[in-house]
Amino acid sequence: MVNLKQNVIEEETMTLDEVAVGSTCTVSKLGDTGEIRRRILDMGITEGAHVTVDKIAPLGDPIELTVRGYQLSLRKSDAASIVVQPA
Amino acid sequence: MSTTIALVGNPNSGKTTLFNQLTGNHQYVGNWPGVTVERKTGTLKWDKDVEIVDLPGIYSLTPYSSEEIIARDYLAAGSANVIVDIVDASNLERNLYLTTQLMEFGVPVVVALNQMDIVAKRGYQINSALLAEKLGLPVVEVSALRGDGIDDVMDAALKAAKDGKAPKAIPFSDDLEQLIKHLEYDLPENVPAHLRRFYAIKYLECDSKVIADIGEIGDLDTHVRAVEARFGDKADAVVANERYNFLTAFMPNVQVRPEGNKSATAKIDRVVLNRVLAIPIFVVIIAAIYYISISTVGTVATDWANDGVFGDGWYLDPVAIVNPDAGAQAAYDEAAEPYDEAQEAIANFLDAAAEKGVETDLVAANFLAEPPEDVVEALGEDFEADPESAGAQAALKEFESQASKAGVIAEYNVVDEEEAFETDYFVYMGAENEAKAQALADARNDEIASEGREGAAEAVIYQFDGEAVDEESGEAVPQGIQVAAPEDHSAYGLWVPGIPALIGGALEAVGCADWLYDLIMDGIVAGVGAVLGFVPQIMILFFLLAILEGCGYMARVTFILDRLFRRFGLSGKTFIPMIVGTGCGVPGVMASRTIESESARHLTIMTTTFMPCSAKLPIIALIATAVFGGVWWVGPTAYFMGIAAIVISGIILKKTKPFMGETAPYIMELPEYRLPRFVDLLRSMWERAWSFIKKAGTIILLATVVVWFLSGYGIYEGQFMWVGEDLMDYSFLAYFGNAFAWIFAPLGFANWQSASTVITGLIAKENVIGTMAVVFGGGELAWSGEFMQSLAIANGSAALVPVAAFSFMTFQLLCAPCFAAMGAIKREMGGFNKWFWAAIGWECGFAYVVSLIIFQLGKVFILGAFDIWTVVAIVLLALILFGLFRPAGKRSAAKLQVATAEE
Repeated sequence: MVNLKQNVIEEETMTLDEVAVGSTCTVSKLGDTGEIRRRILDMGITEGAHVTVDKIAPLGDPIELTVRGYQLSLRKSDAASIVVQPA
Repeated sequence: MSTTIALVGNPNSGKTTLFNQLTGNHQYVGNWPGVTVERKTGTLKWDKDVEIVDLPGIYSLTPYSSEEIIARDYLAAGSANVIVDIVDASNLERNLYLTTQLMEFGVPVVVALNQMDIVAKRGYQINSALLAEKLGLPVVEVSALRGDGIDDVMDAALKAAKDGKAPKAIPFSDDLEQLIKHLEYDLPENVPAHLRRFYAIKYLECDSKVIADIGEIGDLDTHVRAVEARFGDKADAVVANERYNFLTAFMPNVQVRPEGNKSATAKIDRVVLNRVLAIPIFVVIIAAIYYISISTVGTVATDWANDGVFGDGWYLDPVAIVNPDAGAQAAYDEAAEPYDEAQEAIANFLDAAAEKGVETDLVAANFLAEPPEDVVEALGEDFEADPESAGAQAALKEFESQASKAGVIAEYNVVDEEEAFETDYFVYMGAENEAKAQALADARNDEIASEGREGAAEAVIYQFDGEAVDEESGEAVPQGIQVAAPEDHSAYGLWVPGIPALIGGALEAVGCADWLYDLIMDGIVAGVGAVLGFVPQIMILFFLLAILEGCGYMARVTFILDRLFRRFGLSGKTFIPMIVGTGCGVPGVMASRTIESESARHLTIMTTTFMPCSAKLPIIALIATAVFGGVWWVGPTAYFMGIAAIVISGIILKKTKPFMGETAPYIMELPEYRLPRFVDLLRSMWERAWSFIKKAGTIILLATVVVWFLSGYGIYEGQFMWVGEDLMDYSFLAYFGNAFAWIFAPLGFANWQSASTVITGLIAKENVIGTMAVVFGGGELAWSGEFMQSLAIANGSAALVPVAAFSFMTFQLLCAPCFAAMGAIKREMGGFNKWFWAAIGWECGFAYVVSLIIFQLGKVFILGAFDIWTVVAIVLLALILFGLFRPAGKRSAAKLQVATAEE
């Protein structure tokens, strides 16, 4: 079962920071983001959640997302550890 | 029996508004996450037996930030009889995520569905009855803002507290439930029954705080690995997933959101957070705030407060607001101007005559509005000035005949700073001296013309006693002694006397003792008045900041600036403490609590007070106007220096060992824009302004009295006595100041007066100006002049005054904050530990080094003279540059190690 799941991830190796502005994706797994991992989970970025990338900040980072009906901003470096699938 | 109700909810869900409604308290409300940073307690307005505890806003119950720890510890301690969970209905799903965790404390939970008005406005539909059924909790719809449903939520809460029925925790998947049950058995016996599930879940999540609390269970590892084996993910992700899955399962039935139409917030953000426009908009907004509050409206209000309310007085005159050139004040000024001109000419002429040996005392005492004190004293107490008296007229006649015989001509110069125009006066007496004076003036005018300064300077002659003919109108204009004093202020309009005039008059009327009069007028009224004069400016600044906070823009600012701040080891959230810090360092330091990363938080606490707080504004204003003639760049420079100090400190410190490590994380909710309520804006403005006023009434009042005593009394020729202005160099304050003054020699202000302001500034920064007013003495305009003179003497050069004054200002702005802010730093650092001393030491050291560099390099620039201190300044500057540009430490290697250890 574990192996199966990893295979799925390897097929879709897109991470949240690579998602184009304006498009929506589905979270499939959260990688190791250190101390911020727990907060990302609490904010509703969990497996199966739909996330839309709304904006990129003027200086190129962070990004603004819509998740579970509200706006959240997150750095690209943290978004890079969130594995997603195009919805 | 008393009941305790804990208010819990996500940040920005409206908890504080509800708390204010319930308790009648006036807590500060903003529209950015993290306004409430410590818990507050009040009693229910209509039932004093009910205690309400407002906990900080939290997203979850992890030990992720200090607010969450405060809330969690409070709830786990079991002191609350019921939890009222404030849920932002416009952001239902994520808010309910916290609810699912609150249900695990074994304490009754009531859900207050807040912001239903916003939900209705957006066309969402929420079925609160179905929500109550799904959660198994009472759900009450409220609008804390409008006060709807407040009674209902309290009724439900009190009923739930009375029943005392713990909610049934939400069910997880069978696999997970099995693991939790299993772990519950393994927990130590001292974990109470109703908290066993909570602790078991936290254990599975490897919650460091819980593990520390009840010790490690032997086979914890087995449990954790069991979850990972079963779900292919860590327990924290599995639990979070299942909580959200529980909610998403019924969310479509509970809530219907209309699809398609973009919210107003999205539309505003399209402009405000636009990649091109965002930064210009930000700069314009911040610049506008400071321009309005400090340069324009603020200055008018401050002038009114300083020169009117805490000066001679002011006219209640609507005309002047529309047109300052008309109205009562303008009429008075027109009448008073020739008189002031005449008085100055008389005083100068008398001085010049006295130098030629002419007797002047009686004339001075009778004809000057403010005769020299020693002259009046010499004449005895019985003397009363009366220009019309026979004695005065006789003395004048005698003086005039002698002065004209001696050919006295007084020469002096008046500079009009606003018009940038210089006038040289030649005052003469008697027709036989007119030609001589005219010749002198003509010669001076030729000189002016040869220098090409015709538009900027002029030499004129003026009679001590007589009339001149106006060239334009041909009318005779009285000059000198002939000029009548203007009528009393009240003759020109509705005159409101200033507070010093009122108090002074009242004290004289009751015939109070001289020392008490001095204490009240020169100590308290002068010192406290100098501080309170800035209240209008501060109120305007706070009002504008409250708008930014209330509407939700402040959270966007962190989004815009995060990338920039990250480079300095800080988070975009650092901007909030910085902005709050421009009002007052105490809430500024406290606002740093919303920063999750410890090292970024420590760094923010250490540097927030570099921002010029409202109490430092008077220092900036003084240096800008008195020393630099009101040039525009001093104010912005002060703010720029504050920001630069934060940035430089950030870069340097980030490369040192204690701050090395992970970059501060950043994850921030961007709240919906809201139109702030006017009453909230006023409340926020008033709260902050009031704490400033309160400080003026308490600690500053005390400090001014102490300073007045220390500066007024001293030991002179072995005797404890009143030393007053003449012997102030022998005062206690001079003694203390002298003991410290040498420290400031390399900074250019080594005199006891300046040194003593540094000391009193630690009590409160407002004291700097208050103390200067006392120690330099001599009324509003005179003391800033005395200050500059003291700098010239300290450095042995008048040319160094501007750079020494600037160094003085820099040191005052950057050095350790007042005791109140130091108290906040102590609290946030967790006591008088190494972090506290590191913060104070860094601030003082940084201030000293920067001021030294400014003064010494300025000195080289102005005087062109190198000395040992120049070398010191250059070395220090080089050290700062080295700290800025040296390569960062080996952070990546350390990180790699952690990663391999985990493998």
